[in-house]
Amino acid sequence: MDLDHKGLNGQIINDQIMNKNITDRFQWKDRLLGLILPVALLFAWQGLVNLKLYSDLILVPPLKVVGTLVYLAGTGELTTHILISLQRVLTGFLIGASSGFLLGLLMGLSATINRSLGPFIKALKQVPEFAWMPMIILVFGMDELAKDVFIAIGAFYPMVFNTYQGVSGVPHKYQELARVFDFKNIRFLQKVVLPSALPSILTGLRLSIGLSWMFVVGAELFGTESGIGYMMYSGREMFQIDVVIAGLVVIGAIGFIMNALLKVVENRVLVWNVSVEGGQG
Amino acid sequence: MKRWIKMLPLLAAILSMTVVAKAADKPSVIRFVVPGYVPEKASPTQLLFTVVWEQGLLQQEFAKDGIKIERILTKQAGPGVNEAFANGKADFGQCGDFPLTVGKAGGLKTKLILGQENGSTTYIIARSGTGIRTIQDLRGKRIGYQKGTNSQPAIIKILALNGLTLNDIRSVNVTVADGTAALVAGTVDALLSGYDRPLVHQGVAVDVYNNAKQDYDSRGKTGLIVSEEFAAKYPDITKRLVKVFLRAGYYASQEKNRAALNATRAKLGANYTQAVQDWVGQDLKVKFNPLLKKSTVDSYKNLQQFALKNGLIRQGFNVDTWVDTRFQDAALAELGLQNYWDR
Repeated sequence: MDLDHKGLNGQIINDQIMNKNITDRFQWKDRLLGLILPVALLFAWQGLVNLKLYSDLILVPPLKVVGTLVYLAGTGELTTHILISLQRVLTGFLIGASSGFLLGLLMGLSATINRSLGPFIKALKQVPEFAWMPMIILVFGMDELAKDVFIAIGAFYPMVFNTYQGVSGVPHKYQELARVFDFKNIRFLQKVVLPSALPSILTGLRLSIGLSWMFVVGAELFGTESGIGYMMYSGREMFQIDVVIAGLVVIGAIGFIMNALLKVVENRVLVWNVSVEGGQG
Repeated sequence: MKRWIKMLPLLAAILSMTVVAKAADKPSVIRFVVPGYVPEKASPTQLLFTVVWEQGLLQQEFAKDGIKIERILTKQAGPGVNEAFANGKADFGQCGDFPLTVGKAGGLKTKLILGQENGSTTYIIARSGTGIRTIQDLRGKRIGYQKGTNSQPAIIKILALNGLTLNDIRSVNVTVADGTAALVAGTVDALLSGYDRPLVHQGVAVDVYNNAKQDYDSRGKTGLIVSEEFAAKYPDITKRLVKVFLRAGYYASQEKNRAALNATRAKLGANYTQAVQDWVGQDLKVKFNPLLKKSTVDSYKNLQQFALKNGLIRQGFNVDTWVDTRFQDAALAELGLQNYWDR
């Protein structure tokens, strides 16, 4: 019986791996191609500054930005802001992603729940996330909770929709096989739904954490004295545009690293699942 | 004759260059940026500009030259003034001495050409029911103020006078307008404000503190700046604009105009009674002494040292070369006001 279970899961995972191998293959050539635009932009940026086509007070030269990053890192200010922002991201992400996952799962499993909640959530999604900010401030104040809620809203949507998509999209053949094996409730969830929905859930997680990172900057624009967003906002008010641009670089770099790490985790988890379930062969 | 005809294009070119040069003697528009958070009105802290604007002094002065005056109001207060200069969107600007210092420290190519109002009083108000009555009560509380404006050095100084630092309070960075809403909503407990305190008038908030008794120089002041480029290109226009502001300063310095000035302040969004009370015991001739005299320059130097010491700016600049009194001195002489204000 166990072998049969593995066989079913193995088939599910096999399909996923085949698709992933086709779509997620990263070649060095591709990576180098991906570097062309940023490097060109860097040269264009320096060129604009050198030719004095734009005020270097606004478009601060790249080298000065590097100097500012080194200075901020040296004082420990940058690390403190990054750690605080990451802490906020983690809290908001956990709230938003977990509730998004649960709701997406329920909607995917139950057509009734989907029919009653789906349209409402889709309607809420139409509200631009930043439009929530005044209400959040009024209801939750300007403390940490308000920031967590704001980030959680960002993390919620990709998770709920991707989980729903993954769960509701379990191929019919798997459901038939599950019926043959008489899988019920938790076992059906564990052996069929979650493995099948895993790629979609992982994509949701990746988008969710990416958006959490973006939202933390917005969350830190109000009522705080710490975090990368605050550092940038404060830099603007104190006319330290180099600090603003340094903040942009840090946000971009951390966002990129987070995405890349999650991509690796995503690939590893899928492969791990396959090897555990013995579905490769 | 043929030779003359051949030279005609050259003559035409010289003539057109002269016309261009003549046109460059004056700008088509003078762009003036000033803080303004009340819709379509300058901030109540920018009284002299309002006097100039309401009386149409700038328009009258430059109408005969066909020069338009463009007023740029920025809700971001002083930081917004700095941004306008950085973007090349402003020729002249007026705001608090702290944002002016921050802008110059950030590399703005400006000249400080005239003072404006001295000794603007800072008020701290707290939401009714919070139990905040003294500065000591602010410990651990959420205090709203806008960074990069005169409120920032003000709160540091007020706390220091009472044995506290910024670490003893929870700072919330908000504009005056947002801060007012935040105080009502309870998201901040207290707020730094100018003399216009509608929430106190409405009974929603109470006065906790003001620094009216401190001397004029240690309280905030406002100043007038010009972009270096504009001043170098149009020195005469710059001098004439300074002259207009000196006339406004002369008007505001006279005791007989106190009531009219308070009426103007009331129109800027303040309660008339609060405007009147704010100036009790204030000498208008000292308050509106616009001269960049030694004590004024020294106060800018002290402010810069304060900002450096508190990590508010990362690099200093030479205040003496930033201050340019040429326009002020020439305009004073033309107005015959050389001896009107104390130097």
